[in-house]
Amino acid sequence: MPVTYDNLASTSSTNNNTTVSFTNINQNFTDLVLMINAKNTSGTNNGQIVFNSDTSANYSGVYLQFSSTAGGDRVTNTTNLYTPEFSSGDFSSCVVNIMNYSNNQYDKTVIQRGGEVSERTALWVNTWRSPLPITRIDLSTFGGNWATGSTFALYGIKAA
Amino acid sequence: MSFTYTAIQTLDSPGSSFEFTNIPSTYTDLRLHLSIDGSGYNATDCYLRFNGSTAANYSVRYVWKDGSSASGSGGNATAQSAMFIGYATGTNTAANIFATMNIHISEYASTTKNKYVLTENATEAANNDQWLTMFTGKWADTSAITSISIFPASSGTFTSNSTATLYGILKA
Repeated sequence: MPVTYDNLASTSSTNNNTTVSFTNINQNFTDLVLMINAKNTSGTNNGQIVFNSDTSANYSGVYLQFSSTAGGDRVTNTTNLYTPEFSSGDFSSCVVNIMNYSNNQYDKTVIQRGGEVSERTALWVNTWRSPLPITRIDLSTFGGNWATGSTFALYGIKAA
Repeated sequence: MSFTYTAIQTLDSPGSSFEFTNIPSTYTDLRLHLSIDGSGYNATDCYLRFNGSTAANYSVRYVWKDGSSASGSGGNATAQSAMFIGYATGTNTAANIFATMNIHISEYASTTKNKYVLTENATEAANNDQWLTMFTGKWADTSAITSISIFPASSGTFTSNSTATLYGILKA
């Protein structure tokens, strides 16, 4: 049976960590999947992802969401990639698919699903305008830290 | 390097419900892939229960968009006896069309955390009207999940050739 979906690295917040990082990401897969089960330490805030330590205005995103009403919007030319929100009230899950991450010719696209059930659910599609292979991922939030007990697992998916 | 995404069980043509039992606790997350057609008229509401629990500990929030409305809508429900997870196709859907549903269950074997669920659902109602729905769900119970039941509303049934496969995802 071929290896097609493998755990590359896992980590957790053990002391309300500000940032969680995956470094030296194995380049032998086609896509990445990041599985998050996390809680914020302060309020409700979007998470933010930075690839390869690039904090230039190279990220964009569009989302569809429901809180008390349905809606959506976009963010453009941001210095990090927006994720669905994380709350201090409860844990929530978020699954992030990063396509063709090791490609060295094209910009990268991302699809995300997540949200804290008592506040919001959201579907995001994002781009990182860089042809560089993704070798590092840093995750933080726009406010607060990752509450202790938050878990993060990075998987690689290999095309046949 | 280990294989970490493993099919645990596939069920086919289940009748009134899909029942996954004796789920091993050896994985980190679970993922369910469903291809389902139901007995509802326009689209068939589907629900999920863990460990057979009917206590009012399920909550859900969802965003929904069909092919005809300009803007989407959504909803939420708390203190439910089962978790709403989306729509199978129905009897008014064109023939041979099955809804797709992917359900992700985080840290299902934890005995300290509540359980959190993400569901993506694509279905088709009458007149080729396609629906996209995304759900965030919570089961407010710290018990390890050992069984999963998926069933249509109103004592409905799933039609022949509806399938569900349960996968285990292993974290190193």
